[in-house]
Formats: sequence, C-alpha cells, structure tokens
Amino acid sequence: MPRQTFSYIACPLPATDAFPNGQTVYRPLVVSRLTAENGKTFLCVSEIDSGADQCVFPTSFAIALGLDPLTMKQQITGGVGSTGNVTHYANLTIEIGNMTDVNGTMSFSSLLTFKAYVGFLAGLESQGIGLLGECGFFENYPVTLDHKNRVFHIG
Amino acid sequence: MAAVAINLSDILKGIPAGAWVAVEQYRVVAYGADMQQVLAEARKRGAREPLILKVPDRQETLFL
Repeated sequence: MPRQTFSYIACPLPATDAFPNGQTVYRPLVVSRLTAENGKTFLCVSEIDSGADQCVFPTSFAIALGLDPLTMKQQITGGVGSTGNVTHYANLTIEIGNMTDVNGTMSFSSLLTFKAYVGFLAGLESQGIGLLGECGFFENYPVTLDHKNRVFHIG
Repeated sequence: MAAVAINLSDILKGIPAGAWVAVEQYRVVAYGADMQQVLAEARKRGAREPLILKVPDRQETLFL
C-alpha cells in the first residue's frame, strides 16, 4: 500500500482559566466511512489514537449502522477519566480517506480499507468522533506522526 | 482530483455547540441534538452520503 499523507486539523479551543487567550490544538483527524456487515454505511470523523487499545466509536454510530447494542457482545472498558464503560462490539469495514473536489462536487475518496472488530460506547458521544486504535488499525499500518510539520503518514 | 481543505469553522458558523451536524457539498444539510434524526433528515433532504460530525461542546475543550 503506498504511503498516504494527511494534514493535522487545527482545532481552536475557547479561553479557560489556564489558557486565557484560548489555544489551538492540532489533531490527526481523518474522514472515515464505516460499513457494517449488513451493508449500512456512513461517513464520520476519526482520530488516529495510539493510546486506544481498540478502534471505538460513539454508540449512536452503531444505531445509525442498523446495529442493536442489546444483541451485541459487550465488555467493560476504561479510559482517561472514565471507568466502567459498557462497550458493544461489531465487525466493521473502515475506509480512511479525504474529501475531494471533482468539478465542484465534494465527495469522499477512499485511500485505504481495513476490517476491524470495533467497540461502541456512550462515552464518546460528547466528542462525536471515532478513535482508530492499536487493534485493527495500528497493528496493520505503520503510522508516522510529524506534528512539527503538521502532517502524518499512514502506510 | 484534489483533496479539499474543508474550513469547518465557516461551515459550522451559527450551529449550536454540542449539535450533531450533517455536511454535504460544503454546507450543513441538517443539525440537531439527536444524531439519528440528523442523519435521517439529511437523507430526506437528498443528501447521498453526508459527513456526520459534532460541534464541540464549549465545556469540553481538550480531548484526552
């Protein structure tokens, strides 16, 4: 697979006591197309996250894909600031790519595809994005994070 | 075919913090508090494959 290069996405954050002038963080975000085994699909945003053991998404994504958390296998997971997260699992095909413009029409252009057994948990609802973690993603692709130059490479 | 740098801050201007948003063809086609409703509304309005994302909640600044 040829190496694919993506740009970090600038995310401006509001002022806080610790950062009264606000701050801009740069995140390795990609557009992802999720496809369930039933064929249902949609586009979302995911973050490349080597700190995540698995690929995980908000529970609402499972429902949008026609999956029923009540019938899915589950386990308890934990993360920074949260424990006891009920996480439901399903097999997905995940495509990573760019939004491209062809003659003024914006569409998703898939650059790489992999299959993964992914988790869905309510704790990601507030962020509304997926995390592409070690199992399923990093185990299959070498990733280089070049934050200094605000790019990252996959493959 | 060129990758598009989508300026989300322009597209999402005026959308309430914490809202789910469906974006297609450089514009918001639906938004609201319920992700399923936003996706359904976007498809009802003819969006073929909208990008679903969420406007950051101003109370949650850093994602750790």
